[in-house]
Amino acid sequence: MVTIADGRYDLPDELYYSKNQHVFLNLKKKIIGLDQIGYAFLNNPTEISLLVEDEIKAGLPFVAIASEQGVTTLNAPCSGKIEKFNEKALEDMEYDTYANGFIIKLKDISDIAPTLITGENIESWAINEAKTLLRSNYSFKIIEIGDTAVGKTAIKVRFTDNYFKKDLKTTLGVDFGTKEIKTSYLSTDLLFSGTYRFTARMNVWDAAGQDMYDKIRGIYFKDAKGALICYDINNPLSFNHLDKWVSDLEENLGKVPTLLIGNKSDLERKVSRQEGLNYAIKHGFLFIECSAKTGENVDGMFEKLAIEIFKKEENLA
Amino acid sequence: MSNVTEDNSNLVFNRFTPKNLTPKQCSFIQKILKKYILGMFICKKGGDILYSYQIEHTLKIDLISNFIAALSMFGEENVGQIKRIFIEGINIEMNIVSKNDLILVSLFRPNMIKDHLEDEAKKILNKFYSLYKVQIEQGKTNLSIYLKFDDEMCHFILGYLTRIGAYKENYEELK
Repeated sequence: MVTIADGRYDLPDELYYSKNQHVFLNLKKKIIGLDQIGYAFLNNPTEISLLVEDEIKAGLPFVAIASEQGVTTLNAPCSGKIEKFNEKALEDMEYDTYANGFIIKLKDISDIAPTLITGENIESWAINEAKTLLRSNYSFKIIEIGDTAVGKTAIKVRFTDNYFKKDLKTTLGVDFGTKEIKTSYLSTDLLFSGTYRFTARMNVWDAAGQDMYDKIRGIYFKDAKGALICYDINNPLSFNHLDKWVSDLEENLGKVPTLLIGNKSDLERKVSRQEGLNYAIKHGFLFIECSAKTGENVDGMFEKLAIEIFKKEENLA
Repeated sequence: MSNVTEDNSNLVFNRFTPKNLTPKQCSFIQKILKKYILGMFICKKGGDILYSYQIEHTLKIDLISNFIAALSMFGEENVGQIKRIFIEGINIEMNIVSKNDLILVSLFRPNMIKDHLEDEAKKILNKFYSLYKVQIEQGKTNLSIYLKFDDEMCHFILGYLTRIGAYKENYEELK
């Protein structure tokens, strides 16, 4: 059995697979179906129909599958007479595609396509295929830090619930918010170029900024995949304190994708954009100015951070 | 946290029917599960859910996992391990078991039999860790990696129902 993509897909190594369509052929059982990667590509298939009467011919279409992305026509990996068409294939395809989820059973097999992949060639081919299977579902914990009253909770609330509350109380210990975002990353990597679409559940941990929480704040950093370091562009002191927050972050998490945020862009500016940008460049952070009050740039910055974390997680950086 | 309401779209064993059960047995087990269990999830100690099995879909388990993780972290540092929480307003009890940097939280009605619950929870965590040790240690949080645990979870649930007598007792009637 070849298992790839961190255990997401299994491909039995005794089967034969068509390169582009992920149709498998089991010579022993004389069945043809769609492998696990092919099923994942289909994206919620709804209907399957046989396109031939009683015989399939190698390289020619034999079945059509309707799904959310339209109709996909599969070509036969060999020739042969059909013994059975499994009308209920889609019901079992997701979890049992190599046995009960087969599409057709043949009486006899001839003209096996010479381009089919089997044995030791499966792994390298499948790894590449899985990398271009661009659908994933992630959970990212984000720690949000910065001086008290720079608007950390307001940013979190604007992002998760899309509203602004003027008189938010000081956060005690830690507060949470969670929101799912759908985004994509266009990779220019030579081997795995293409658009990676993914969903990320952003779990935002808004840590209290007051000095009295300095001793316990560190425990809440555990397992965070990314960080937001916030300052108030109207309050130079909060900008001057950034070194403290950066060292807090590095001490607890090391280097993680980090976004430096200049909040309150709706107010009079006392820290220039260039100062913020220079600080971010110096530390290798992403940088954005936003307003939790108006919502400007809030969703965009979380998306930016999600993409950076995704790249790190999938070694695409 | 929102109030709990019944949801008729629930499925037994997440998204599939175990092959070793007849539809009649499945529907029987579904009844038992819906009566007592609201869901369970395995999250990292930091709060990110890796695997969830949710029967009551109105529960915001992502928020619950963050809450439990924060409580556990705070508890470990200051007051000791937190093992069970009862939320009176919405009539939910939560059993919390931590091991191998993972937390398993089971959410259930307070009238459920709790015998062996901790044992079973530890077994589930051990199995999960043994299957996904590499991915967990690499910090992978792509949930599709852990989806295949459905199959194992199904066996654990059946095992638990059998152990507390809920499944075996009625099994003959179902035949």
